[in-house]
Amino acid sequence: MTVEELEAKVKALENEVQRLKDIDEIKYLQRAYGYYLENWMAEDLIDLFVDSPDAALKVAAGQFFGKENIRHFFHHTDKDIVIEKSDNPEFRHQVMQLNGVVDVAPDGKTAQGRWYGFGANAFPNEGGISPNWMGGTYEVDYVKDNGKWKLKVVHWCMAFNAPYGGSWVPESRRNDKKTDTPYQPDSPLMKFGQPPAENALYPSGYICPFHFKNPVSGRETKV
Amino acid sequence: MTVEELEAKVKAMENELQRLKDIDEIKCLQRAYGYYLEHWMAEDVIDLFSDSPDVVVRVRAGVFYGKEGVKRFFRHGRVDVELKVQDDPKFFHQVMQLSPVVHINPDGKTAKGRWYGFGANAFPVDDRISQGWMNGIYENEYVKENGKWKILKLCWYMTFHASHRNGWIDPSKEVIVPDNPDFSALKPDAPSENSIYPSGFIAPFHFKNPVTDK
Repeated sequence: MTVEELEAKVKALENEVQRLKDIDEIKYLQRAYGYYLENWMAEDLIDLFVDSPDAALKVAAGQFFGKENIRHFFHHTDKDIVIEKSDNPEFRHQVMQLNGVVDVAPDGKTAQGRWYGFGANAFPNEGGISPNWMGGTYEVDYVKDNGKWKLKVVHWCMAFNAPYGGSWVPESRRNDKKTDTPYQPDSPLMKFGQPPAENALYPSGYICPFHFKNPVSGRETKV
Repeated sequence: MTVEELEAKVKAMENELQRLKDIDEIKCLQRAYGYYLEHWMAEDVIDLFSDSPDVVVRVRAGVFYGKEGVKRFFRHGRVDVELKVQDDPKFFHQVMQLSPVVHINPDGKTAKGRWYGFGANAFPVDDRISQGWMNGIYENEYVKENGKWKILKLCWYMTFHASHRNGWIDPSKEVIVPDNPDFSALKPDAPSENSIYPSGFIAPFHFKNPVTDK
């Protein structure tokens, strides 16, 4: 083998290793998002998004475009405050980031991922606590910005937020809140966001669109 | 280093990289299976299986052999009717594909994987809906055909399908134990922190923020 052939082989290896490293870094980014969500570490969450007007957060509460409106969302409408973490220890918002399928674009600058979000929640509610299981699907767009992968578009399709049967919050504190409808357009958050584009909640039949084609047949998955 | 030594090093790296790429591709394959299962996208699921006569699906309903058997199971017994997606929006069959351990065999052509399957289900029954939590283990085999990994054997060992409110234990056997057990007999070397809800305890992070490094 000539040195030129060896160089070409090494270059191809470098490209493939870069792709695997990118996938690893993106999985780490998305899982950090989940760990920060558990205790509503708003500053850490906001930092994960790219500082671009194209950044978007699409959740059950509505759609938020641009980093400033995303900041409003994680700050509960008050963008000038700092929320290092939720002050209320009765608040718990575990959303495990599971089942990740990550595809890096050939240019190595953008990527897409599909994930499950699932976890145990406890939301303080009118003097009590509402314990829930939450589940749904994420489709996420990522962008490499100054050598770092960042969140660009986070689309959360919540399928259910279900009160827990036998509860892990004290029965005396229990006050179930069933989140089985999309958030209302007249909520204070809507000053900064748009209502959700779709109702993903069970039993809407909504299927979060797939960024990937069938891995074997290559066929588009229409939903 | 001589050119021959470099060649050997590059060849070894290519082999190792191929193994890592194979593991990544198999994980995508198995996770796609999970996403398709949620809405019973039978055609997408069937496409994930090899065309080999050795194909097996082993599930609670029984064992199904060959691609025809796979079609019979995922098309609800009607082999000739394509089923793109479950029509009833009240049907929900989430089986998250979790905790993978994937090993590529030395031949690079076959592989094995162990996974957890776990998720929330809702099955319409007459005009009502049965809701539950499903849990189990997969032990699967994969085969590389024409450069693509496919499922050769899918073995699903379901450990429970539990009603949402009542849990997965026979109610007549259930006993509620206090959630502050006494561990003093174990003579721990030091007390542990109280991480139980609602202590507000946050497990310390070993990593800095991936974007800001703060």
